Amino acid sequence: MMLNVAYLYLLSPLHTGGTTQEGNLLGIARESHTELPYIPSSTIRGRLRASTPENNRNRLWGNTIEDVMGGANTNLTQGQVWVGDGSLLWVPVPSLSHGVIWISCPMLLHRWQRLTGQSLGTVVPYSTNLGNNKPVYLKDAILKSNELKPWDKWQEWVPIREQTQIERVLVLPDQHCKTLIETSLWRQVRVKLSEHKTVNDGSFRYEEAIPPDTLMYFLWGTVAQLNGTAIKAKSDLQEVFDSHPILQIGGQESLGRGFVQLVTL
Amino acid sequence: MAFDPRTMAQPVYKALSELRHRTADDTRLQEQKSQAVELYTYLATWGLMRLKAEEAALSQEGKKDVVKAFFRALEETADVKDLANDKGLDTLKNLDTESYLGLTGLGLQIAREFSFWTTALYVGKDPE
Repeated sequence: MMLNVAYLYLLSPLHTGGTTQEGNLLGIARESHTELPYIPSSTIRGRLRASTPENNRNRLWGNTIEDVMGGANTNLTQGQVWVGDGSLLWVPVPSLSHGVIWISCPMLLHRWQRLTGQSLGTVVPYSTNLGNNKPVYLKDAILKSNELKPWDKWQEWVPIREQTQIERVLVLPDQHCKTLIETSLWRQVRVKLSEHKTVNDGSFRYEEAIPPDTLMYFLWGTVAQLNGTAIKAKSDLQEVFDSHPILQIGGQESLGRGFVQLVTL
Repeated sequence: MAFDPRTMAQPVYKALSELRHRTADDTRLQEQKSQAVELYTYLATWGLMRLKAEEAALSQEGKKDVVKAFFRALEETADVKDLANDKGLDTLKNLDTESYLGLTGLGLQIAREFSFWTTALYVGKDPE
């Protein structure tokens, strides 16, 4: 089985519904072990399936319950390809000193390295390409210049850099990165107006989303039992990727949410 | 057993249920509810120091009640002294970056607990 990687560079906020719905907050999907936002593979798969030409759809992705109920097939069948969850890699956070800085942490970077089969070594917290002469202001935290560690090889850790705007990067310790990401999520107030243009009682709520300019990735491949047709399945899916350089993933499409640039290497 | 999954829920439930049951005035209850579900978003957007400053600036008593309860719960859970009293702003100002970010992370979790328990404890007390 081969692992392939596809990158998603967010062009607009991305909202995939999740279970964190406390109080008046409509939360997003989160990994159970890190609580970091992610894109469930079923969300990506559904979009890719819909974008696959009809003559290849059932072969690549499997048939549907409607095919069986309608009599077209006798059983549900497995498709030839799979896609994994979308994971965060670099997340933009506001900075008073640098405008926007993309942050990540050793846990996320090493996960990406492991899954993509590379051997770039290790990354230590506070590695940055911003130099260590001046302090860095992130939201309401100030990182003193003596804490920062110059990082020459940062470009190796930013895949598809040419297709993104990622120029200023900073690696934070895992726990602080998580807090900063939490405080940098896109949050929008939503209300429902009555016919008199006043807010309906109880309609005030917040919605979360992963911010634009975030770099994410997901793995994909062909299923194990393909008996020699794996190459064809792989190239068929690659064709779907190539013909859809921009995809819409997740909810609230009518609000322009979830548009991503899809890049495979 | 050292691990207790209720570590954060207990102080928040205690603080909020006490507040709920000692308040009779409907308007104040609505203010408490609207502030309690707002804590997480406020904290995520503006940070701990501003929330502490807000405690003094708030004119609605119900909202002030909740912010005070939040800092009491945070002080108890994080075991940081002089957070809930009027020295709180100075305490936050003097923390090093590591501790401040750590406390913010914990604060976000506690704020989420507040949102959750508000829905359960303030049924029918919808904010305006």
